[in-house]
This record gives sequence, structure tokens and C-alpha cells, in this order.
Amino acid sequence: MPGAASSHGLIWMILRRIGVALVLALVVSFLVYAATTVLPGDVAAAVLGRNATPEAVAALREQLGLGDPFVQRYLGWLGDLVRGDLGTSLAGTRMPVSELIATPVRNTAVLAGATLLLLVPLALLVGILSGVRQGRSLDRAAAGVSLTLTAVPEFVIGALLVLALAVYVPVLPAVSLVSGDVNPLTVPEFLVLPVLTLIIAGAAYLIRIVRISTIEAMATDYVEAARLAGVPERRIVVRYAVRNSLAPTIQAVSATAQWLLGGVFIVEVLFAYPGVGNALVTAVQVRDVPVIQAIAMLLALAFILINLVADIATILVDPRLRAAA
Amino acid sequence: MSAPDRRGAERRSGVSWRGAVGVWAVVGGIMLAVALAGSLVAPYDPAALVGKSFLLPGPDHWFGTDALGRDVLSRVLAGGRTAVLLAVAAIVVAEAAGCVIGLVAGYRGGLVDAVLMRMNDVLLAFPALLLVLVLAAGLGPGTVVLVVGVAVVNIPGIARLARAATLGVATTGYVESALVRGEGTAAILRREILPNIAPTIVADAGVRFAGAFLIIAGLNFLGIGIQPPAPDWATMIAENRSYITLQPWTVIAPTACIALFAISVNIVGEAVARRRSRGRA
Amino acid sequence: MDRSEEFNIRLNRRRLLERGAMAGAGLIVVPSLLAACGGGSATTDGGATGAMSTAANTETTSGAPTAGGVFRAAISDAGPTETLDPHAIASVVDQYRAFNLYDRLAETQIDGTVKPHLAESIEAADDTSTTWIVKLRSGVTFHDGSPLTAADVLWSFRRIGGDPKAPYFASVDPYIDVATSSVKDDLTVEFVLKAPYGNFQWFLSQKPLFILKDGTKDIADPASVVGTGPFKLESFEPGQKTVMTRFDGYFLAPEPYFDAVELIQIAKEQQKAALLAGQIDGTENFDVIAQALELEGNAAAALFRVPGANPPQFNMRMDVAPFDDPKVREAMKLSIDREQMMSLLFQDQATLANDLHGPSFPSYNADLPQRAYDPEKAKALLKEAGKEGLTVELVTGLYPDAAQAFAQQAKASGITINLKKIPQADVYNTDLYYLKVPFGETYWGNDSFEYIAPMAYFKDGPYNETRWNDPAWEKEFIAASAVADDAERNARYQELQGPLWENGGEIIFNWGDGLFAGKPTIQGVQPRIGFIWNDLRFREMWYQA
Repeated sequence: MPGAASSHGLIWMILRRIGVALVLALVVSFLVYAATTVLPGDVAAAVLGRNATPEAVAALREQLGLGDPFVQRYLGWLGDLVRGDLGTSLAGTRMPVSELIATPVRNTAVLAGATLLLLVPLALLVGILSGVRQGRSLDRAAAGVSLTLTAVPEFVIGALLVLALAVYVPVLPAVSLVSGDVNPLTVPEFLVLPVLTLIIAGAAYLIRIVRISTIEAMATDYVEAARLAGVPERRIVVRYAVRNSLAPTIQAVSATAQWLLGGVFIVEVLFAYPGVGNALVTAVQVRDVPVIQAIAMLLALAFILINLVADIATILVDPRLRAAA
Repeated sequence: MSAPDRRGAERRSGVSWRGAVGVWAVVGGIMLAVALAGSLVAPYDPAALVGKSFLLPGPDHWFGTDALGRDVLSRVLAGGRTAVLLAVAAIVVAEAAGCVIGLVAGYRGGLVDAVLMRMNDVLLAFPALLLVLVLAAGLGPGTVVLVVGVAVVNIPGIARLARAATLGVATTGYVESALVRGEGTAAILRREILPNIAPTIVADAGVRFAGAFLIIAGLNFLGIGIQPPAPDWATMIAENRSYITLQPWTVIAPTACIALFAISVNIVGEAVARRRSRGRA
Repeated sequence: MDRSEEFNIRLNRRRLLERGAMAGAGLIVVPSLLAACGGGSATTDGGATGAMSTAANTETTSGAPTAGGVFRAAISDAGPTETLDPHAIASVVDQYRAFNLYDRLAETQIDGTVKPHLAESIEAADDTSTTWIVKLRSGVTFHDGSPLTAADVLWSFRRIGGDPKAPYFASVDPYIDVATSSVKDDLTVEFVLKAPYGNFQWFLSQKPLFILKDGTKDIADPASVVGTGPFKLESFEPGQKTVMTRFDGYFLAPEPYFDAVELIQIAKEQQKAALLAGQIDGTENFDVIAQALELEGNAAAALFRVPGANPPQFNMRMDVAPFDDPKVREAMKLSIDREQMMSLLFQDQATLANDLHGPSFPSYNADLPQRAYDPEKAKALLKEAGKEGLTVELVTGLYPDAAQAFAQQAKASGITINLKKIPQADVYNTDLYYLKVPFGETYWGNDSFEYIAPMAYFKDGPYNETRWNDPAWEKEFIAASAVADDAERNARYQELQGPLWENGGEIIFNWGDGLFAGKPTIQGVQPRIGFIWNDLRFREMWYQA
């Protein structure tokens, strides 16, 4: 990146990232809309099921605007989306989608939030310690475990945890069953297994990145100079290692958060946890198109947003860029 | 999870690492053999109703029976093949498409190049699982969705790799001399460039295969892919998880298979990657 | 179309839709609950019901009922859409409340018969059974102390059947002319029907024909919930909890016995643990029979059952090849191993079915021979039909397990059944599968032949899944339905089942029991069809002292 970046350049750089993110969001919205409505199969009939009268099918087609040209439909949908109107669910009670997914969104936020809150500090701690004590037993153990667990899918980890903690030593419920409008935080026992599964599945990657960044930071000239100057090792770690590994760590945390958006699907289904992942899988099964569109867009936007925030944060913490600014 | 970082900063006692790789290579080989040929040695037809429901492990049924009285061991032995073959199919499709796009982009540059990079950005803004789920919403569940979805997810990455490798090769002497000889673009791509970038592509395909297998397993678990009665490890976990307290082996056995397979592929892949990066250094 | 035929169809359609919704909600073949009892004015012990109850429960009643205690029943579908209006009940929890806060004019009894309840008598006024005289019991009072009168009854029926926007309008309007029906005196109502209907007593026992107080307004307000039922509404928190307390002035004293009944929202999979932990006193039906059976021998729980609640069913379309050949249909029916199905799908908590509906009702023809697994005979039939090595496709979304098992069992007859697995939600998709596929599935529940017939076996019936088409048969069914005499009507219904058994396209192989559990000291729970807990009659239950 340009060493000539002024604070002006910095702002321009950030604005440019935001612009790219907006364009991305637009393209993604088009893809989501196209994939859910262009594909074969009469959505209206599929949704109505056994009580479908020709009038009802016609009415639903009208609601979905299936008679209009594709581009017009897409623009109409996009306009509603931008205004915050997510449409009406096609299944059962015909609730507004925003109402229908409000609780699942909250629940997923709780699950993902709890996971990140525990996962990030844990991974930072283990990663930095392993990096500082490179090659020693803690490092070797952490590396071995993380290399092993990176490869194991979430539902396998979850199934193993259920077997261990709900079947053989039954201390925890095997399913989440946070029902109705209950805030999952009020029934933490149902959060333990899903969160634990996500932490185990996600920690490996983050630990490895933090460790490598730490090792690289500890090998820099600054650290060498500080050592020679007699700065205590503990201070070196805090001063240099942690700081210099910040940028790659932010990227890694952002990657972890993005992974979490995909990981929650499987974990939510495995534990019957009432979040967006579960809602989306159900919606896919009953072809509740407005719900699928809303959740897919929501997740994609979250994905893009995390990326954007991480990029901006990286720009801001990058010492070279800060110095230039 | 994304591919392991291979910046080569990992150092470790060579003996225990090599030993571990050896062990996992053997495990991986066994699991691959089980996946591909296990049904040949299965004691029962994996779909046959051979006993009562939920029998616990015993001499007749080493892993017991499932809800429909089918032999769990036989189902496990037969349950890896489809997912492995689907992963192979998805990667073959993705490699074919990705290489063509990458070769053309790398050799020709310009518009193709730009479009390719933007496509990649878009796909990176979308969790792979979500993408296939959205596709499944329209197409309906089934193996076609799996192959198409997983291939689509992989094409941009492969294309980028192929493009980078092509750029590296395109300026070498072979190509220049071929140009001098007056060979056409297609011929140059096929005869001069493709053989030179093949090792990179093949090594990459191995890592992608592991990723594809895991995504396919995840989708099967969600009920989007392979449909019953076809035996499949991930599907078995999904269909038996409500009976986990009644007959845990219906879940333990397929869980162990996926875990062992995934870990061994990952560790062997890691070892290959390290060797290559050392070789290059 | 004949009037009464149309009545049947329109009334029944709604209930079938509810049923479809319930089947959709179930995990495998086990819906949450059965619809309230089906057709048939059961005057005798219902066919197979007696034989259905076996094993594993404490249905024995020890000693005289004792009053007292609170019964906490788990329910799993409470939520923002709950209603207190008994004429708008939709979710299961709505029904739990309505059945206990209000009464109907007639009720099904433990032995399967229908008897007058708020009514003292229900009698046809003429030979054509188009005018019916309902005399009310005297001395019945509402929760506020006012007496029940004929005006309340007529007002309630007009509330349901007089407003086309009322949710259950179609349950009343096609049958009863509410405008010309009238109050004869304080305790007598004259119902004028739009066409002859022989089994009006059963008609009056259906939900949601609950009697409200004349002029009741704003039913959303808990204070306006004034019924004659055994319990009074104490508190109501949608999505969480309902508390109902004993109504001391109930007309069937000494019932009810419990001081209070609480309905507590708790997810289905969690109910077993909650029962064992003492957080609730009763569960709903288990989705996995084997998990219910794990409670056998557990001193902390008693197991109860709804016999034959779950009949999985495969349908062959009689108008398309290869099922247009009666030999092929017979071969298919002989190729399903009903005994093995019972073991695998229901852990033997079931009885054999004989490809006919309604074994729990007096209209059931129990004299027809029971079909058994006979692959040899099936093979021979296929050979005669020139269809050896038959290959068919079964479209499955409701009963994937049963379909997989059937595919295996049919191999012995040389039949290959390929499965086409579709989402559960698509089974009743009329544009893709429902009524279209040659070989598919359906769910009817445990209901009577006469309830199902107009929908499923009339040429233009809305759910004629097998394309049964026999005008003479239809005509005889309509004539039989107008007969007011129970014995004669039922005998004629039984006759009609012969050709259906012989030639029909339905494969009904098991009547799976619904199992639910409760505290071991609970008394008075009987194995009977309908909803769980004696068709939701908490008033009949008590705790052993």
C-alpha cells in the first residue's frame, strides 16, 4: 500500500472499501433473487399444497408477482428490501417475514455472540502462548489438536459431544429446545453444547493464525533489538508481539466470524436450536421463498459487513498506514 | 474451515511429525478403501431389514441395528462411497471449468481476467453452504445440487490458481519458442502451458477434494443431498440422532468414519503441502 | 350433487385439512394428537379398540376417586397465535382449554359411544331426520352462576354458522339452517337441517360446537371466558402457561377431581425429562415409540395410550397402469409384511390393519379376512397379470421409513419399489404430487368409514386418492347416511366395505398406538381413541390418595 497515504488517502481508501461492499451486496441480491425464483417448479403451487385451489394459486402468484417480467420483479423486490419490507411468509400463518425471523435472528446472534466472546480470547491466549513458547509442549499439543480438529466437521464434533455429555455422562440436554420467545440466555444449559461445538470447531484455525503471527512478530528486528536492550521478555510479548500480530489476527477473527455464519446452520440443526440456520433449512424444505431470500440476504450482508469492518480495522491498525496518516 | 496456513513458520521435531503422518496416511488409506470398497465385505445388504429395531452390538450385528432393523456395520461399510465419488465428481467438474477459464484469463488477460476476479469476490462474499442451500431451494434436494453447488464454489479459486500458474509459464522459453514456431493459441495452451501447470493444479485438487467432501457431508447431514435409503455417513448421523440414547452406535460408527477420514486427508494434505513448500524454497 | 353428499364433503374437508396439518407436524408417522373423535354414532364397543390395548400402563383404577391436587400438563404448541375463543380453536393448546372450559351438547364416551352431554335427549322429530329436537338438562349453570338455556344454545350455533367469516362456519352452515332453527321453550331447541342427516347426535359431539353464554362479547378478554365446563379460567399467558381451576358447580359432580389444571409450554423432546424431574405431571404423545417404551418399569412414570392413532397409508391410483389391474393391486397388498412393519415402525405397539378405515367404530366390517404377507401368491397374481418383475415408483414424504421397509419386503414378490423422496411439505402439493402420482401416501387418522367415504371414495370427492369410482356404491352410501337407526345404518355401511376391501387402492397395514406418559399416581386415564387424556377430559382424572 502506498507509503504516501495521507489521512485523505486513508479516508478515500475506506470509502472505496465501502463502495465495493455495496456493489457486492447488490450483485449478491441479484444472485439470491435469481436462484430462488428463476429455477424450475411452480413455487406458488409448491407452497400452497393440499388446500390449493386455482384461485389461491393465482392469488399467490399475484403476491409473488410471478406474472411480471423478471427484471421488474427483481427491482420491486430490491426496492422493498431496501425499505426494510421483507415480504410475507408463504407458509402456515402467513406472518410478515421480519416478524417471523426476528426471534431466530436474536437467537443466532446470542449463539454466535457467546461463541465469539469465548472463542476469541481463548484462541488469542493459546495462540500467543504457543507462539512465544514455540516448539515446547504446550505449543506441540495445541498444534496437534488444532491440526486434527480443523478437519472435523461441526456436526461430527457436535455428535461426539452429545455422545459424551448427554448420553454417556448425561449432564447436559442433547437438544437445545429453546422454545417460543424464550431468550436463550435465560436457559444457558441449552447453550452449552452448541457453543462448545462451535468453539472446538472454530478455535483450531484461529489459534494457528495467532500462533504464526506471534512467531513472525517475535522474529522481527524490533524484538531482537529490545531483547539486546534488556527489555523483559514479558514486556516484549505484550509490546511487540501482540501489537504486531494485530492485523493478521483481525483478519483471522473476521474469517472466524464469517465461518461462524456457515457453522451455525449445522450446529443449529444438530441441536434443534431455533436460530436463522434452522429457519433457513426449514424454509428450503417447504420452499418458503420470501423467508429464504430474507435469510440468505441477511447472512450475505453480515458476511460482507464483517469483511468490511475487518478491512477498515486492518487499515487503521496497520502501523505503516497509521504512521503515514 | 479455510485451508491451513502454510507460511512455513511451523517447526517441530521431524521424527514425531513424520511418524504421525505415516500413521495417518495408513488410516486415510484404510478409510478410503472402506469408502470405496467397503460394501464388498459388508455382512448384509445395507438396505435389508435384518433384525429388530435398535439392537445393541452383538455377535450377529457388530454395531447393532438401526430404527428399521438394518445392520449398522453394513451401512457404515457402504456409506462412504457416494459422498467420496460425489466430491470427486464436483472437483473434476470444477477443475475442468476452472482450468479452462484460468488458462484463457492468464494467457489472454483483459476482460476475462477482470470478470473472473469480480466473480471470485462475489463468491467470497457468500458462505459456501449458504450458496448451495439457496440453489437447493430452487432445484430441490438431490445429488445434482451437490455436484453443481460444490463445483460452483470451487471454480473461481481454481481459475485464479490456473491463471497465476499460466502467467508464470507464459513468459518462459517454451512458450516463446512455440510462438516462434507459429503454433495456435489452443495448441500452446494444451501442449506447452497445461503440462507445466499440472503439478500445481493436482496438488491443489487434493486439498479441494477434502473440502468438497466436508461440504457434501454437511449438506447430506442437512438432508439436502443424498436421499434415503442410500446409506451415507452424514445422512446416518442425521437420521439416527433422535435415537442416540436408544442405540448410540448408529451415530458413533458413522461419526468415527467421517472424523478419521477428514483428519487423515487433512494431515496428509498438510504433509504434502509442507514438502512442496520446502522443495520450492 | 345431492345435498347431503355435499354437506359431508364440506364439513369434512376442513377437518381433513387440520389433520393434514397435524400429520405434517409429526416427525415420523406420529402426529401430535388425533382429531377429536370421528364419525359413527358408536352404540357398541368399537371393533378393534378393545383388542388394541395391551402392555405397559397403569390404566387400572384403584379405589374411589379422590379430590385435590394440581395437574400440570405439557403442551408444545403454545405461542402468539393462541386463542381463547372456543369457536376459533386452532392449535392443540386451544383445544386443551376449550374442552375443559366449555361443554358440547353431546360427547363421545369412554366406550366409544356418543351420548347427550349438555343435552338430555337428541331425537329426530320426523321420519326423514331433517328436524331434530334437543332437550337440555335442567340445573346446568355457567361459571358466573347463571343457568344454561335454549337461547344460549341457539345463540352459540348462530355464532358459528350464521357468519360466513366465522372460522368454523363450514362445520355448521351446510348442515343446519340456523335462521329457521328455533327455541321451543327454556330447555328445548328445534334444529332444522338443510337435508336429512341420520347421525345428528354424533354431529353435535364435534368440536368446536361448544355452548357459550348468549351475548358473550370480546372473547379475547379472559374475564369473558364463561362456560359451563368443569374448569374455570384462572390465568392465561400466551406462549407460556394457562391455569384453570375447579368449577364447584359442575353439573357432573363429583367431577372434576383436580383442584386445578395447568397447561405448561414445553418442547416435545424435553417433556420426558421434565416429567422425570417432576416439573410436569403429563406429557404429550411421544414421537419415537421406543423412547416412550424406555419408561416401562420406571417407577417415576406411567405410560398411557391412544390405541390405533397412527395409520400410515399408501395409495394406488386405480385409473392408471399398472394399478388399473386389480391383480396388481392385490399383489401389492400381499407384498407388505404387516407384522414386520408393526415391529419396526411401532415396536409392536400397534395392531394389524386390513386396508380399511374405521376399526374403532361400529360401522367397521370386522368379518372380512385379514390380509397377510404372501409374496408367493403375489408373484402368482403378477404372473397371471403378465406383470412379473413389476417395477413401480413410490413417492414418499410422510413415511420414508415405512416406504423403505415396504421396498425391501416387496422384493420377495419380485416387485421393485423405487422411492422418490420428496419434502414432507410437498406431499399435499396438488400441482406436483397429491392426487397425481400413481403410487403415493396419505394420512387420515383413526376415523370412521362414513366420515372418510364421501371425501375419499366418491367420484368427485376432494380427496379421492385412489380414484374409486362406483356410482351405485355412492348412491347406496348416501341412502344409508340418511337412516336414523344406528344398527341399520351401520349394517349398510359394513356392506359397502366389502367391495372396497376386495378392489380398492388403499394399503393400510398398521394401526400404531400413540403413547404418552404421566405421573404414576394418576388415575382414571383410559385407552381410547380421540385426543390423549380421555379425549382431554381432565375432569375424569384424579390422583391416587
